[in-house]
Amino acid sequence: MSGVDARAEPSSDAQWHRMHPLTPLLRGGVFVIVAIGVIISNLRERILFFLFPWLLEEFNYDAFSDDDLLSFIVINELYFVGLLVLLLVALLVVLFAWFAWRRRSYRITDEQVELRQGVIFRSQRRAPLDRIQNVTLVRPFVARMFGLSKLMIAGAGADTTFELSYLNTAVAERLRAEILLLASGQRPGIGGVENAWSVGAPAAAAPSVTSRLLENIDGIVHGEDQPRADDAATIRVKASKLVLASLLDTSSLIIGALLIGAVVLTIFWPWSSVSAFLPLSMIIAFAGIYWATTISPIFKSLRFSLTPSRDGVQITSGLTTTTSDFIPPGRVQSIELSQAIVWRALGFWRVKATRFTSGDASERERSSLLLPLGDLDTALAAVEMLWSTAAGGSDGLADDDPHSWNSVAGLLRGGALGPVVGDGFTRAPRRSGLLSPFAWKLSAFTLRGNFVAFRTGFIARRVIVVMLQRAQGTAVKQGIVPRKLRLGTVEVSLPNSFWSPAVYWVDIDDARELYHQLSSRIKVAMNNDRSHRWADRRLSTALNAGVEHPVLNDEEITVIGEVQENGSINNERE
Amino acid sequence: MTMIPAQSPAVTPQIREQLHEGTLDRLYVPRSPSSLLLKERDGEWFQMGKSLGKVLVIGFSLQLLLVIAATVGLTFWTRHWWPIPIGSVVTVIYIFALIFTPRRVRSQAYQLREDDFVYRSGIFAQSLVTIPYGRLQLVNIENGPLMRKFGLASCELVTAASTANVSLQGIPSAAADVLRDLLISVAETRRSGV
Repeated sequence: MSGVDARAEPSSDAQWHRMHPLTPLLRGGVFVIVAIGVIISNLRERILFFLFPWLLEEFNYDAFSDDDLLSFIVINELYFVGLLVLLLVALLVVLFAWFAWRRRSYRITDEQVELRQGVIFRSQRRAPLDRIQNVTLVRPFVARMFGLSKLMIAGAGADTTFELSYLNTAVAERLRAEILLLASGQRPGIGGVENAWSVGAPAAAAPSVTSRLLENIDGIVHGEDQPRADDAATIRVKASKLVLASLLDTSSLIIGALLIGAVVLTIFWPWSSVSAFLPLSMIIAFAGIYWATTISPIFKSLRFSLTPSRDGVQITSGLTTTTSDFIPPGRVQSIELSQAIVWRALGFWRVKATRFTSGDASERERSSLLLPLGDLDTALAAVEMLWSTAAGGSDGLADDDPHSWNSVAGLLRGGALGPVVGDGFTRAPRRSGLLSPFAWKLSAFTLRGNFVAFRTGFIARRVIVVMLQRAQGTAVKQGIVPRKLRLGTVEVSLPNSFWSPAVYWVDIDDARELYHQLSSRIKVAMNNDRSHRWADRRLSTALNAGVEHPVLNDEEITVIGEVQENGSINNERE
Repeated sequence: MTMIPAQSPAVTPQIREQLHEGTLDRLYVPRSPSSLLLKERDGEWFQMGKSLGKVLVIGFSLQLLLVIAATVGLTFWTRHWWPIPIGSVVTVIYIFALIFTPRRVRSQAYQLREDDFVYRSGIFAQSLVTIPYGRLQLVNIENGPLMRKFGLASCELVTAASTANVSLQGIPSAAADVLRDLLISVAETRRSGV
């Protein structure tokens, strides 16, 4: 294993690096949870009756089963052997963890991020820089106390996420900056990266563990991982508003009502019956769902802030476990404003910027969230921030250019303000109310440049702007009843999503025209798109200039930071 | 009115011949003027294999026989009446499917336009799907024993979006190979980032 040096500062130097030496301890946390799980499942009656002794009488429970582990040890007086086994298991776990740590290493080359790991089954994972969708810095509570973080690197496609865990936070931040820089199409010199987030001099002299622990606990309280750069431009979400809005979200209200219903049911339940646990288990089930859908997202979104940066918008959030995430501008597929029915009275909006993320539904949900809530102006400011990072500051386009920020803001605002005369949207005709009595009023679409905007919904009002250079295809559909009513539905497919943005039941002639327009515009937007290498200024202008822009020849492209033929590094920006 | 895009130049007369070989020659065109699938907008449509209707009818019939056998068997075995309504409902659904299969097969067709692949299908619920060639991730050809017997293969076009995948239920095996090679070679020149 030559070339592996845990002490060296990890960077994009194409060398293999190890994780932080404390990694096994933190990753071993999983083993502890498993062990506790085994113990509880073996001893649940003992624990239950130890905590609630009076239940013992109530249930007339006079004997513990002999087949649980503790009874077995007590009955056979195997205390010494038991302890020995416990120690042996612990030793094996530690040994295994140490080997696992020895075998886990990563490297970053000009082409890809690689991770190799595994003691018995060895694996090697790679993420090509061109396809990296997302680099998230996650700091679970325990890891924060040790000043450690993990980097989650998400590629495009199912099961392509892998994590580099755990790393010194400073190292992780630096690494992320470098990965994003490499992915953006710039070529930093080997190891030499100047970036707003590369930390000055990490760990000048290694502080003692205790002092570091204290320092980090301090950091938890004061939130030292909050954005440092350019504080004035940062958008924050107030905790009180966030809690209020989350509790008033439609799904939260429904599940909350069910939970209250279950509690009421429990109070009036005839306790004599055999199925005494039925209402209780309902409470537990609904409380669990309520926790997962309402409370836990609140914790994840507390201290939410958005900060502009060269690598996209930086999102930092979380109370106990903090995550810090960049939305690289060149990966956004669509921007969505949505409003739950109760939010309408309060003027709240939620903003999503969807990307091609791997991972489960909740991860998709988390990673697409641009702003958990805000009024329309804040929502638009958040989108503008994303937009301006995509274009590298101002997009430099005239206000009446269909691809300018002004135009997109117009689309979002026009969609959000609902059906008003002159909002530029083509609405569904009145007869589509026969199919959707409420939603037809909002159902509308509009096309502008490389964007299509749909307004849908009633219970949740939704405005979605799709970047056509990311669309995978388009479809127009019609059932029997809509055919009688001369209506049609138009969809645009986006990568890796289970539903397609669509406008439902608009006039058949509008639907046909929209479909044909989309077919040709997707093709044009696709051919002109260079945004996956978003950092090259001229190319990203090409993205924004879209349709009319001539296709660039390869010779014309000067990549910033590229090593030139004479060996010098081109650091000039135009 | 938008112009109808031209056919892909990759479709040479020879390839065209091969794609048409052994396919249906009459496209199902709905009469309603408010239907999506109007003929006047159309370029050249390539259809499913001639025997696809037959294959599907045989398949459905076999399944229907199984359903009927199961219903009868359960009725006698349990000595109860409940399998009868369930079995009847399933039978009626199958009979409907059988009746409409030939027309449904004739409604499925695809076009190879200059920049994108177009697929239309459906009699009652109609749809028209466009996939730009550059978005194709892979082309999947499959044929089961029954399909193989009739020289057919199903051809699936996969993109990064699960909602934009197209499955051609059954085209002649030779046409499937030609189509796959054609799509891959065209897609190769137009690939782009997701």
